[in-house]
Amino acid sequence: MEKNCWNHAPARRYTVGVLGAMTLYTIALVISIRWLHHNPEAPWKYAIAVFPVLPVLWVPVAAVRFFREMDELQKQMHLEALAFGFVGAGVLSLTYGFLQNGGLPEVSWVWVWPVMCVCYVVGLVAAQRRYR
Amino acid sequence: MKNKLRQLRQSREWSQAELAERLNVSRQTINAIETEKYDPSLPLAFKIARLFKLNIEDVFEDKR
Repeated sequence: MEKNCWNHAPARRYTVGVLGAMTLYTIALVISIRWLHHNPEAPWKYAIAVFPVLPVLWVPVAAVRFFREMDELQKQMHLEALAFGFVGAGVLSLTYGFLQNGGLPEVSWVWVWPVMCVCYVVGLVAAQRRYR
Repeated sequence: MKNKLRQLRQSREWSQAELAERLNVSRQTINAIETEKYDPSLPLAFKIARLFKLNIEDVFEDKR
């Protein structure tokens, strides 16, 4: 089988790992929310609130393993995409911060990471085209 | 960096995918090297040269 980013064994391992982690996260989130709803003043509430994060801790480990198993050009493309995503999201956040000073509505900081993901995908598409 | 990878591959009648398999890299990497959009690392350049039983200078030329 032709080896590329998405159909070789490391990519499959990464996908299965992330899907497994996200499934456990969803289950843990439902348990956590229900428990907190019924026990809002319990001393363990902070531990229960962050409990869903535990399975997600596998995702960065899986991502680093996947990155290590890529070939050198794939690493180069992902590095360029990460650089674009990291810096692009920083520039966009800063720009929107200035626009907020000018009167645009306040946006929660939790949007920074999704913006970074979008910039990363844009960077990856650009890198794929560059080395196609 | 100029290289003779495409000619060498075609002389063996290998597809890009076959060569990629032998070098344990992606087909895109082979294509990017052949089209001179990407210069391989020294270890990969040596691996390519060894595969074709050549010296590295016989495959790659340090002129753009």
